[in-house]
Amino acid sequence: MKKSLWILLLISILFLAACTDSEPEVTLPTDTPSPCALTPLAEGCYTPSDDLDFISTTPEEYLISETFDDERINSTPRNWLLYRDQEYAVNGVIARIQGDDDHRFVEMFSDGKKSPQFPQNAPNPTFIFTTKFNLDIDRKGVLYGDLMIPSDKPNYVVNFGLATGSVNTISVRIEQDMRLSVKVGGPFFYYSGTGDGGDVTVTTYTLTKDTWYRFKLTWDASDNLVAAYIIIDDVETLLHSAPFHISNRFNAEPNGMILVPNVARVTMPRDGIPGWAYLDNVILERKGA
Amino acid sequence: MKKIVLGLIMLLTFILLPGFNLQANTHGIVYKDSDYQRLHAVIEHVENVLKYGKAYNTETDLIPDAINTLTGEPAKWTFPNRAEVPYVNMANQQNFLRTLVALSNVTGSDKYKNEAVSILTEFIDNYQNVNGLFHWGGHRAINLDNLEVQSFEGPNGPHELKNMMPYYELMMEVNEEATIRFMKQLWTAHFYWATTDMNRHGSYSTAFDINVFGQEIPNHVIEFDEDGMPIIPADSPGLLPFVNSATDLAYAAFTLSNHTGDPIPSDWANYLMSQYNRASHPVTGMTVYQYKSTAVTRSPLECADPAYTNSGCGDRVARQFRDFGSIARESNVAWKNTQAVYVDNILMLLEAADKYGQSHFTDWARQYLEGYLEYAYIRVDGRNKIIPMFIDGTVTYGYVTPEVGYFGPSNMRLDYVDMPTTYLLPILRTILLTEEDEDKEKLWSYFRDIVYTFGIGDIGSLGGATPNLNIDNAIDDPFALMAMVELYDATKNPQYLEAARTIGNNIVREKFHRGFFVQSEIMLYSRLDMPDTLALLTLDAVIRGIPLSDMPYYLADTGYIHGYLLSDDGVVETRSYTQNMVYTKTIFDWE
Repeated sequence: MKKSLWILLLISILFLAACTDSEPEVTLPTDTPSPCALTPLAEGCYTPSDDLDFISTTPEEYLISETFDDERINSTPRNWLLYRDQEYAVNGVIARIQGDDDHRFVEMFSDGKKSPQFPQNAPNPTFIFTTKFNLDIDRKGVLYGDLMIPSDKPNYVVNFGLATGSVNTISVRIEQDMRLSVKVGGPFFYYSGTGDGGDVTVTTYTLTKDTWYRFKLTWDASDNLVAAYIIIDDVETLLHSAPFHISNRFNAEPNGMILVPNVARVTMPRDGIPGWAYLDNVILERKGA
Repeated sequence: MKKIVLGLIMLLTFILLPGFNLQANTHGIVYKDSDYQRLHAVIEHVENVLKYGKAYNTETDLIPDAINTLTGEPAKWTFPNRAEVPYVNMANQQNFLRTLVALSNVTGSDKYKNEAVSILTEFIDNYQNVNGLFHWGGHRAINLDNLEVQSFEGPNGPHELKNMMPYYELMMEVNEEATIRFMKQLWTAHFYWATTDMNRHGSYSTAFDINVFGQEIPNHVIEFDEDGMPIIPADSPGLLPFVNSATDLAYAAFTLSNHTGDPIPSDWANYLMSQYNRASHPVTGMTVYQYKSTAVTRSPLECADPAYTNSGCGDRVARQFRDFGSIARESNVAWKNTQAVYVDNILMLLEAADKYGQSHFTDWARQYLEGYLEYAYIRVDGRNKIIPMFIDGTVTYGYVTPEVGYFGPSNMRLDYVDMPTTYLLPILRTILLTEEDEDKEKLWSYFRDIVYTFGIGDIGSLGGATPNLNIDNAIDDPFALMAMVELYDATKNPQYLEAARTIGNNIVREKFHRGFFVQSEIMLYSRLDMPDTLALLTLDAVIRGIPLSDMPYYLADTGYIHGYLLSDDGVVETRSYTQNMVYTKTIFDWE
């Protein structure tokens, strides 16, 4: 009996040993050492990337041509962005198409109560209505736009102009009493540090309510000039011309590169005073075209 | 005689059994083709970063923080007036420097470490301010267009490090004198010796102090009331002693003491970190983000607007969460900045415990993590989550903010927050550094649950020697990878290594695109500080038998730039971070 047990035990051992030998054979292919283990950078091991096929960084220029005549009544214009955030009342700002089949325009309202949170302590507007363009290669251009202040609704300050990102380049400003001024530059993020809030020039014009006024704004980085005109009865009158404001230069440095505008916008300030205005025919052209 | 023969047979049986052979095999790990494929991807990434990073401006060895994987150009910060700045922020490239050194370690080629040395040499030689601070951190970087210092917070942005934990070992190798000067000035510029205030912002105008650390260590800032509760002073004059800045101060001081043999910087670091420990909640064990609140220095008119969140209007949580009473203080929030408090801070404490003899920091780390996990950890719908609460356990879940404030807009509902995988490392490293098994049990049971819920499988009972892991998992996370590597290193159980290999393969498959590692296939930028490459090299090292102690060590990847910039809509200004504004861009956002 004991001998039988011994034999059984030995057979079992040999069987188990055989199993042991067979397992590495099964796993051998996956456990083959990499030939590159010790020479990871050698030719035949490391293959560098081909030159990567990157896309071009050249900007694509495009213009604006907004008569709003093909927009739907009561809708927000398709190519425009009306800023608002969680703090705004539901109808704290409005920009909607009004008019009839012959003539459509944008009706704009601001309650003047809230504004973007940054930069803090800066006079950020409540109403910010924008559309973009790109003339970064030309670095010059002409923007037209029509504004009207209604007499049957409350009105307050309205600005129409060009912006470089969020920073004003040049804009016309209709005060609550309908006086007309021009603002060049600012505010920039250095606002609180250097006070470069922009330069305002008062004109001799006082506008009339219920009348459409056409404005023309130009810029040319090669001449370092921006300008604002009013067009009445096809007569173009220069309101103000000036060099680019420091806020439109790199790091707000006097010799910093001029940063050209890419936004057409209408703004109304945050002073707690509501106001209505109308916008039409926002057209951007190449300068000299 | 029979007994001897029987014993011999039994011995032979054990020797020949398959299990013994398997264990023997694991001592000589085979470096497989799949292992090399992962390394190949890392090499390719590094080569492309160096090639395209340097191509933008051939006048410098410096490379940008991130590369646009569609254009090959540097990531750029866009200021409100459209000015675009390609930036080099060396504080945000520490994991890339560690990756370069790690790559030299595993390939045996000095080439990559030499690149790191070359980059650091140029940076240290040219961008150390006269007072000793480097031009780097949260509000300053180098403009890669003109190689000038660029500020992102007004024209004269301050020095700020928050959990950036520089690769001091390499910096010392490159320029010992300059590095020591920086570590000293970090304290002079940020710590107010007379008042024990600390500010996350340091001035570049503060003169270098040769007598830094020369003052006697004062009494503790944090004292206790009659109930044993810590009293958080509200007298800081606009200075915010955030723990993430303190972490960097402490790390510099411990490194300095270790290097010079002078214990005084280490004593100050202990003093500083003690304030956070003393301010911890005595019942829950949860710790604080800051040990002081700010005094009100702004006018009532300015502060009447809740959208004006300047700290000069006093404690910003007390303003926005006043419904919660006295616990509502910035220091006591346990749903924001938790990565800083419970991950980065803990990793520094453990590093100091492990390498610089601060063994009591392991106990602190365990206290903070046990408290946090006990009160705030919850598993919801099979996911690891955090319950928003204050550090006394007061739950804020479901609260809707009545008005705008520093912590967000009005009508914001506080909800559970996903627990990121970053928590794996501080929990695991705390366990590994804890000496007594009975002290490890609580944390281990949380760790076991968290790992399981992340989908890695069961690490088993305390110690992790008998896991049942999900080897064929779909996880592509560098922190999970490092956790598996460190568990393998601690247990030598091959299951961890196989799980790590799977995770490593997943990372390469899911994140290596267009020649670079990116967060996912659709993300536009390859960020140099992302920890994936360092994690992959750590795995490569253990397979090769290189001790982890010989490899650069992961400590943080929270580098950022903070300042004023153009919003995503391109028409209004905001104040935010690269992490929110640049690295969130996808290939579909590219114009």
